[in-house]
Amino acid sequence: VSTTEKSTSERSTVHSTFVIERTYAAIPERVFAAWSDQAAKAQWFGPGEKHAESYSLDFREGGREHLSVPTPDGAVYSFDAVYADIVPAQRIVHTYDMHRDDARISVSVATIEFEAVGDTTRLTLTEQGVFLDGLDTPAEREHGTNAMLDALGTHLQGSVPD
Amino acid sequence: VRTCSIELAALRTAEAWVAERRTAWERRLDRLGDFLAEQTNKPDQESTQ
Repeated sequence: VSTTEKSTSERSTVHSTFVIERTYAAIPERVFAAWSDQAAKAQWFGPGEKHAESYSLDFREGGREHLSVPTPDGAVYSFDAVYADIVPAQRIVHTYDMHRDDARISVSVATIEFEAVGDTTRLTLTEQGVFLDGLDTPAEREHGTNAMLDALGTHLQGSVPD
Repeated sequence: VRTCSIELAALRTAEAWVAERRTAWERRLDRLGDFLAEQTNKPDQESTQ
């Protein structure tokens, strides 16, 4: 499909969905507020104060969120989201992409649902994403290739005819 | 064989990314729990005025 400068062998898409559940000892309105207020969300969403980073949140439908985090190897990972659907204290749907420097790693839809259970909140996060081009660092690619070769070696050993 | 091998390597890398993404969300949601617990333990500054 793609006719860009990369060869087909370097273009790949892998789709994945995962679900994470947590229960918090707070009512949904309070848990939701930790997602909707920039100052509150900055306290738990980013990697922590020890990392230099930039963070902004415009929490409304159509609004954007940005987080960028430099890593020790000099690369910068960035998260850019657009809020698609917001139902206060009940649901947040946002799409986001991740980049490593200028290279796009993934595009995802993340749905966060808040459900009152007694005095607590059950939070369910569902992420559906496409991971692009097996994008990675050269070291990881080497590791992946070595692991592949090891697996191939094992497979060949195992398939030696009797 | 070569094409198959390259795709396998890309697939493995993508699987690592997915695992990393899940772990990142789990860490965040744990920190959210810590944040909410700190808020609960601290008296609400606005309402105690």
